[in-house]
Amino acid sequence: MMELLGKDVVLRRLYFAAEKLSLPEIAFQVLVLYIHLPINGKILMKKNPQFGVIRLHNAVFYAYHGVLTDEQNLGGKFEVDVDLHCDLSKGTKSDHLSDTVNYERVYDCIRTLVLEKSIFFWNHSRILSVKAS
Amino acid sequence: MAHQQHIKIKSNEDLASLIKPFLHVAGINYRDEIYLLKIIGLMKERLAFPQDFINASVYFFQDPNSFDEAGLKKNWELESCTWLKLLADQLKSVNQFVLSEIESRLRQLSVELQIKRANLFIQLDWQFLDGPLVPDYLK
Repeated sequence: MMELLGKDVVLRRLYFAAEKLSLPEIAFQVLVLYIHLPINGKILMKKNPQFGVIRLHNAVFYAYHGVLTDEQNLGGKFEVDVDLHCDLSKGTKSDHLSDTVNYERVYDCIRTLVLEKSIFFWNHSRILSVKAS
Repeated sequence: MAHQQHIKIKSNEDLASLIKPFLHVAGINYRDEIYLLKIIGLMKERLAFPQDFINASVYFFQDPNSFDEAGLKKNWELESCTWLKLLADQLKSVNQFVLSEIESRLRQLSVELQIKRANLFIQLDWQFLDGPLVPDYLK
């Protein structure tokens, strides 16, 4: 199929899908920073007046993180609150879902982070490794 | 003899003359006659009626605008976008866009990323069409 379609069409479709189905980069950066650093949303909004907030609160997961053996064997509840301060101006103008942040995908990212692997601490390198992927 | 077998034994040219009116009605333009005949050759085993060709092969003629959410949920991974971008970057530098070259780049990328080729193919489903129906990605 790829050979038949030709290089131009294949490249166009690959880039289109990669862009359309990805979490907007700005949202990802803010998500990464926000989880790691206690960024004050008000300061961020003041600096970037075009920013809006998408809130995803009280996402509860049962996971097996922690240093103690019991924590790793029995697990525990982990509650995640995320405030995404990101540029939503494009979406508010066009009213298209594709121009805004799909919070279902944000939830999937968080779920992957929390459930994928048992870890001792929530640290910087862990968050960045998810961003890099 | 079932419709499907009638279609199978017809030549690509004969089938093309049956399919063209449906293409016209659906407003689908094709690059040229050779391109159309190649696609008919690839797809004819899947057709029960000539008009089935339209739905079964629309992705050869038109880029997808949207992607099936349910399928994406099942198969799309956090890394998928990165894989697709890397694949596109790899293919960009291919001079002769032929089966052997494409295949070797795919193999190279799956080795570099340490993922199975099948995983890459699942991602390709969603960027070429709206579901896993493609007869052969590379040809």
